[in-house]
Amino acid sequence: MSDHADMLERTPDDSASDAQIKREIASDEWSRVSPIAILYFFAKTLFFIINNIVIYSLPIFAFNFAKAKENIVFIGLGCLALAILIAMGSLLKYLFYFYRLSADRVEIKQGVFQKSHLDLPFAKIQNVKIIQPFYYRFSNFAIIELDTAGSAKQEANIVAIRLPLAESFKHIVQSIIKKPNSADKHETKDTEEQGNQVHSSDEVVLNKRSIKDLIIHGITNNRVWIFLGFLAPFYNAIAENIGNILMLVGFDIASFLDYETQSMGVFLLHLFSIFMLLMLVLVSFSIIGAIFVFFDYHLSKSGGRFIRRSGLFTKHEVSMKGSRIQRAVQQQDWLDIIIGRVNLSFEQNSAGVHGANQGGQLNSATKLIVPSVTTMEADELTLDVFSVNALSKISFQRISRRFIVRLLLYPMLMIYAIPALLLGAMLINGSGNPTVLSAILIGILVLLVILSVLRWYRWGYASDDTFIYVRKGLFGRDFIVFPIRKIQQTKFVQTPFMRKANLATVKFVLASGGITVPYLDKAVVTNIIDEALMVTAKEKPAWM
Amino acid sequence: MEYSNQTINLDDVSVESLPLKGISTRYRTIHISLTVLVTIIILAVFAFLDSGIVITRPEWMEFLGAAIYGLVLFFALWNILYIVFSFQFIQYAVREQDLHFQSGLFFRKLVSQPILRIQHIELNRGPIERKANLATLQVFSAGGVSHTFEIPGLDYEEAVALRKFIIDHKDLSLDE
Repeated sequence: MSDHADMLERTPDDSASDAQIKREIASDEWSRVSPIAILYFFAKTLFFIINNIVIYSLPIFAFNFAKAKENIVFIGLGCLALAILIAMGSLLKYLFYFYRLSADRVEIKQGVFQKSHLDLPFAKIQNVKIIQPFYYRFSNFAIIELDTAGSAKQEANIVAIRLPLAESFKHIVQSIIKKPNSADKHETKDTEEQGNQVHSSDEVVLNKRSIKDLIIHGITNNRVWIFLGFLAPFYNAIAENIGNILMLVGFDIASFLDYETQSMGVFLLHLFSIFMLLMLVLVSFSIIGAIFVFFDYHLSKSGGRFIRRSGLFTKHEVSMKGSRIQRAVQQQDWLDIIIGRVNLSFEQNSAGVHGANQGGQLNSATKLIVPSVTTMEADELTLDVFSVNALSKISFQRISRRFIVRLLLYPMLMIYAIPALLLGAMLINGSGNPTVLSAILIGILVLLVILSVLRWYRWGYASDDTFIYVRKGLFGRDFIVFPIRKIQQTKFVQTPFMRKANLATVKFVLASGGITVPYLDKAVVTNIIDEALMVTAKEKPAWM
Repeated sequence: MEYSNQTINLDDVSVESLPLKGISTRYRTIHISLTVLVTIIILAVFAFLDSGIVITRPEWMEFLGAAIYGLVLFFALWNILYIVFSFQFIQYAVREQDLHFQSGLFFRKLVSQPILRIQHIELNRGPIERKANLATLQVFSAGGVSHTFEIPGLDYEEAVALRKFIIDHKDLSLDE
């Protein structure tokens, strides 16, 4: 597909098509697209079938290749029938597809059985793109793709329109939606540039990361692996003892799986060694990976814009307008808590940004990561973005203790059911030492209770006039802060038990995703929802 | 359908005292009828396999037969009872600045959507909905597709009026 955006200069010839678009807007009539749209619908259905059905049924064909060869005629006829069916469907889709341009919005009516009527105000259009897929190449037609912040996957496309008309449409819509900060909007189209190392003069460097920081980052971000790898010298002993413990319980895996006892033990040991070796390799990979991505890390600020530059071979640049940042997250795993490091990230809207997740999470244009900074640096940077002081020092209110009970009932009870049933059955069978079995059962129970309590302990909620703060985690902890003014939607959830206890769960939806806080005081939840709705209605704050 | 447009003191307004109203009872009827229909079809398929008229009776039918019928009937009954008891809680409210949708029997949910944050609107109608003169209103915000605000089972006229109310809302033409 080619993007004709901004490729063509406006010429006098365009005035004719401009006039036609303007006539369409003035007439306020429903229009059909060109019949070439049938091709579009055909291709789309075909791609859908290939992506969702053919790919998965390929193994079946592969296995029955000989049989398929014999019946090649039938298969060919089948394909032909399918193609005709798709073609008929595409024709129907074309016949039922209408669009209408008005002074302030686009409407699209489509659907043969399931009918939909879409309304898209011009003011909400972020970007108008003109796309000419390969099957339109021979023609002078194109698709107009209308991006709104709400439509990452949602379709707001005018599927077949003559190229000059499309250009005119784009031109006119852009002139209608012309905003004072449109130059800025344009700039953000390329939030991610590669190989661009030009520093403008007014840029202030806020943070740099040294190799040492990156090694720390590589280790802490795979701490499970390093922890297990650390046990490497002991795994002979561990393996033996595991065998002993299992024998003590009377759980004889070997006979259970109908294997010879010795070969099973050796097999497990080998498996374990390979596993450990793999982990060590992974940790090294993790460190190397961290250096690859974050080498020569610079976070700087220029005007209202935050720019991150880093990379060993490929230099990545992610820039983000400060006002577009939806939330700040300070992430700490247990190892981070011990050594006092924080992975800080600023997130902007994930829905509307094109290619939001290109190049993986670390280089995503929607996320600005500052890897393994100290707590103080993290707080300073957060202050720079949100004028919030020391996230870790905010006095969070705890959620209700009933949440522990909830966790124990679900999912802990379900998790517990598996070993409980297994060991219970062994107890009844009389196979195995009852004392040891009971000890194991109690041990697992205690572990699950501790996990539940820890989970509850990590939850915290706080709010002030402008911000909402959330703390959550299990072994590690995340501090999340976001402005009330950026909330897109709220959700209030209550079960009958929670109603009785005057509790509620709240979910805040931001352009970068949702944040749920469970089991808060009901009054706290209604108050914050009311406040969020009121602030939005009264002050009409922009979220971008 | 009428919408009030009086000046109100926003400080007094709480989501606790929303003017909630129910959706069309035809939504419940359709839901139950569809469940019954689908159940009958599934049962018929199993009965056909069980009878062994055209093809030989599959082996798993021997020992799973009764359990399968039971399971299908259980889910059907569950589904019907759920909609019967939860229907009264499917309610929505329209205020001057925001939309609200409540649902759920055990997990009672109330989703609130400020009109200012709406990106685009869609009115959806399947063949059965059209027959029953119903429509589903969908409202998209920058919160993403998974947080689409949706009111199903609206009378078509009401859905159209609601759509018009949202489109004509001055917040919709504001920047962003």
